[in-house]
Amino acid sequence: MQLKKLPIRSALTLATCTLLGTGQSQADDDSDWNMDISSLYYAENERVTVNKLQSILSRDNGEGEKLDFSLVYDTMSGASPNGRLYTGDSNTNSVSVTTASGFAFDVSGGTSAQSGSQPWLTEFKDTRVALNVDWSKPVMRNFTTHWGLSASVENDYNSFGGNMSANIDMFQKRTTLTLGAGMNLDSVDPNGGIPEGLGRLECADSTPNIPNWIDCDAPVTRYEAGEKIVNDYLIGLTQVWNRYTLMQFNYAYGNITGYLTDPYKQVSVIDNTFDGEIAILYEKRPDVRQRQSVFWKMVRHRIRDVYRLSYRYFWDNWAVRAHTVDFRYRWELSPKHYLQPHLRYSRQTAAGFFGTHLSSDDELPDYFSADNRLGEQNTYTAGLKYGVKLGSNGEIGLRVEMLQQHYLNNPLPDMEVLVVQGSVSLNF
Amino acid sequence: MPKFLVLIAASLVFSACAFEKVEPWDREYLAEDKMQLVPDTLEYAFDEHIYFSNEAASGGQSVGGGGCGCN
Amino acid sequence: MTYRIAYVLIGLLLSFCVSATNAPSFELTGPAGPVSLQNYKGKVVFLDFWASWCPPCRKSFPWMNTLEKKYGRYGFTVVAINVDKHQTMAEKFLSRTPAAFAIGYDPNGHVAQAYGLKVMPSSFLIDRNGNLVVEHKGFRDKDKKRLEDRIRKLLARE
Repeated sequence: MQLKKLPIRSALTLATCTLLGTGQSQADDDSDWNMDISSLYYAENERVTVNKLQSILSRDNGEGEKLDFSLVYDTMSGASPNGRLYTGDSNTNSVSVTTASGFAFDVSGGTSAQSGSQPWLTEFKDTRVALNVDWSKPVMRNFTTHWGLSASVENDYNSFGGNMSANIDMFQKRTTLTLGAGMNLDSVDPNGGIPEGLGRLECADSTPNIPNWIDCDAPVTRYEAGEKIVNDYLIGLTQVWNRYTLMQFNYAYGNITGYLTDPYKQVSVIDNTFDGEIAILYEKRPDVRQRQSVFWKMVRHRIRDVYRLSYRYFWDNWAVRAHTVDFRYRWELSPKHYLQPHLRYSRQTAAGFFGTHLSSDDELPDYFSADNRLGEQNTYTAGLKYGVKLGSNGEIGLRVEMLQQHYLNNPLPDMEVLVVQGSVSLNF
Repeated sequence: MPKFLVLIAASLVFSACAFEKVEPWDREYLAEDKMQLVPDTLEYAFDEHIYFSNEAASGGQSVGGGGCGCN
Repeated sequence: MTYRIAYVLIGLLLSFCVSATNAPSFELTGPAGPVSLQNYKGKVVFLDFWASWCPPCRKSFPWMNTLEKKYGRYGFTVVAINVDKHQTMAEKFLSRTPAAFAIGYDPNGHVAQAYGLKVMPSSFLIDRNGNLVVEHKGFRDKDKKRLEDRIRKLLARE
């Protein structure tokens, strides 16, 4: 499955987000109910297309107690990089490669397993349905609790989880302490089961120089569904900085154990003398991942316009280090409509076990993945949103975003993405 | 490129930097919807999903306070 | 006889327990003319601090209208002090949520400060002698009954 599922971490934050209404209710609306519907179109250049439809139905009892029901429906299709070495598009069918031992050569074509002009892509099609329920309950005047349950189901992947958080207001509500925790149980069950990590998928017909750590004859062992447990914790402080500014400081810690490998991802084994791919293996990732992040955000009012700036530093025990900066400026054209440009930049280092391919003169590593999402990359985003307010009845919005993802030390070409999102929010 | 962004970020931060104690009756700007930490839940959820699907890093956000501080 | 003395003694003790501070006086302009705390001496005053940007305030206004109607003839009055920086915002709020009680404008928050306002909205009960008796933070449906009981008790006192 190429597009990953919404992890509990996002579900946790999503859950607590939907409960943002607590203590921050709209000054304009006397209604108890609110319905948000949003449709998203996501298209990568010549690759994956996703259509997403999500709606949230909320009931606010006006005393800080809120109940939200959220339903998501996704359809995904297209071709996604499978981890095999990129050998160009159908026109240029070879690419230059340098092995770890320093040999540089051109790699062309692929093995017979997945013939076609683009063996480094795998086609897929999937549908996902997800449901979230979130409940916000003030326990005391300065203490609010949030509880959430989430479930997500698709062809080969299920995720079920729960989360809770507490908001404690202090110093006349100038400071808010947030403590949150969430747990998710995920399971992936591809057709035929989970393959053996770093097991052989295919060997080339003529087999020169196959390293001894690849067995071209034995059948590949397959296992039942792979499961993992995700635990996330968050501690955050929101501080009213001045009459116009709000600042947030978060620290998050996550621990995931179980089957963390992507059962669809493959690794090319290249031999410089053969000048090509001599075998394809399945990838293998460690069975523990510990991730941490520190996050800072500022929201600032400029009497009419509002802008928000955030920065996140992420690090994990897979050696990934990532910086992310996000900036949105809400330009009020009039009290009735606004334009919001958006800029985002993120960069990450590669995971320790990431490589674009293995070489026949390598030693078999403990773990290896050629999934470009674990590699060194920069992502640039620029977007624009236009919103119209319907008085106290709600709002409609249209957002267009362009993403460009550039891979370093990787022959994979840049990925370009177009995102179009339309949304309607109604109070009744 | 990153250095340029850091400069923009720093200047934005410093322009907002003066820390002041805000009285409960001075929260008219903080009370506005658009001053919420995450004003649009669905947009936020979509973005999180997009970047989670394409990057190794994820999450980090949550909600705290701010707002009108009412009740 | 002993019961009477006991009641008087308890009453005296209670009057010491309850804060006997004088409610800070104020003189403000309002949409219906000047509003001054002195003018309400001898009445029980429900003093409410509100703002156009405060959602619970929209819920409290209809209830305060009911209180004014119900207890006005017994020497009770609601005085609502607005802390909006811009009067137009308050006027907009009042046009959608009308008030059948006295309103005063405190745009600089001086009166709010004098009363040591800790959260928006807040309401204070002032007895017939001008003493600040109750400070109530926030506004919730479930608080209504308790506040009304306190008002009745204060009205019953001489």
